[in-house]
Amino acid sequence: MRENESRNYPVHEDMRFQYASWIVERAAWLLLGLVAFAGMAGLFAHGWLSKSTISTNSGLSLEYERLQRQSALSRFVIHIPAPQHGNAQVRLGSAFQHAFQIEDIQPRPTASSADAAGLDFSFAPSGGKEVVAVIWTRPREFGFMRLQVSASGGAPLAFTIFVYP
Amino acid sequence: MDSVLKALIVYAVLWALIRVSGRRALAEMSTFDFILFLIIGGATQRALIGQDYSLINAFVVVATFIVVDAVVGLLERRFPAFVKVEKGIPMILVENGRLLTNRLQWARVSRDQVLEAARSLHGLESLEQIKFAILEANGDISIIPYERPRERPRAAH
Repeated sequence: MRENESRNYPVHEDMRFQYASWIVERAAWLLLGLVAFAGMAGLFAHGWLSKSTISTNSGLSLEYERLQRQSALSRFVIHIPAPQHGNAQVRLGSAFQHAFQIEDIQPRPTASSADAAGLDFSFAPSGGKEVVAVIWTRPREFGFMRLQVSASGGAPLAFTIFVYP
Repeated sequence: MDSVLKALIVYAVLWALIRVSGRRALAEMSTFDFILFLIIGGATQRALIGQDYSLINAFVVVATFIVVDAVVGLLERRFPAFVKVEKGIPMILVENGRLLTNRLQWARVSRDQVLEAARSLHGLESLEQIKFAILEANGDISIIPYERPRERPRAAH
């Protein structure tokens, strides 16, 4: 009797199923290897695959993670061109109110306010060409999210992130 | 609601991971494997509970696991095919003293492991004394020796 034939004594074998499950097992190992590799590369947030930078013509630019994980800390770095006079203003769209817990803002805004359309922060000018504001957040929900950031009433930066559960 | 979903997902994913890790892994649990399992438990526990340490959440998660386990048990009794997929099936490794080498290779079991089981279970010394060695679904190796090992025909020496 050949090895790949099923015996019925002393146990009831099913070699077809057995070979199939070995192949599935090997395929799964490969998949797990890929998962680990993708994790290192940042496919599941916190890596170079997840990082992104966008900017407008007016000089507002934003570094963010387009892939994030629910309840994991992530940061938005906003480069705001320094205004001629007064404070630099940043407006975060309303999705930030619904789906994010804002953990920290650096530097501390001189003023903040909110309405149904979003959150406003003003930052004291640094004396340089731009003000850099870092906002640390934790997503409280998962899925795709459309976000908006604008500065001093200029054109908004609209972008989409995906938050893993 | 999401704790129930999370518990279901964790149950399914952990089952799949442990199933594909191969049945040898569970049977030959070393101290290190044991620690590894504790770490796996710790890592999933955080994802399961999150920051919600409330009593209700713990009850909901535990209740979900018990219900799923009961349902799995029910399916096992109803559908034999389900058991096959869920737990695997036994397979013969040694037949009438002959090692089925291709099977051993696929199942990642070595000749030494078969002999070790034969020694510790029945005090057997060689493959020729084994009538059947069976890799059980749970990863154990069962040994069925020839009924009267001394009368086994073997090369004179």
